[in-house]
Amino acid sequence: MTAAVIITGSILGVIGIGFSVWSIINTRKRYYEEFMSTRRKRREKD
Amino acid sequence: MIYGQLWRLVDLHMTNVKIKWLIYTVLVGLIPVLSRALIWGISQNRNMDFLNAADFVAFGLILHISNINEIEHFIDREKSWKTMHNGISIAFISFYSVLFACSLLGQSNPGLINVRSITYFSIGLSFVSFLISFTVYDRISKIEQIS
Repeated sequence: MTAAVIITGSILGVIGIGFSVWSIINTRKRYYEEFMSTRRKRREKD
Repeated sequence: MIYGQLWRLVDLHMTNVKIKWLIYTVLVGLIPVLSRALIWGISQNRNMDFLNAADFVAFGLILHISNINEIEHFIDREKSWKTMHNGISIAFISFYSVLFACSLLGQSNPGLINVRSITYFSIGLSFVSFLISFTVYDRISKIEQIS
């Protein structure tokens, strides 16, 4: 019982933490791209 | 003065959406855990448990339901991201349902379920849910800053 709980918990924990880290990196990347694109457009306009 | 500077520092890095999430969702979700800790602290004989799986299950459920609600009202541009987070939240809600059933079974029949392992499992899972919920609100606040 305890071993099953530890194994399931570890799998879910690794999946959850990995997904969270990936999601944060992806959000930062996306935010940076949008920010740069907005700045480029503003400069071209000026 | 120090309080004002500290608040300004928090305000710079955390947007309104994230502060609302921290107060209305995380703090409210932690009320069962905090209440139990308070009652445990003032009880004369410590017969009750300090940690209980059901409290952490409630915390996790609150986080994931608020995630689903927030994703539902988010802009339509990010369809794949919304689908992914909705699916993860639904999966976690089903895991919490199983955990809740296990904790109830453990209370009614202590020999059947190892209550301590279920408690630690739910604490770990609620921490993961907290991280996932943070990523959802982080993305929402960032997209709102851009638009």
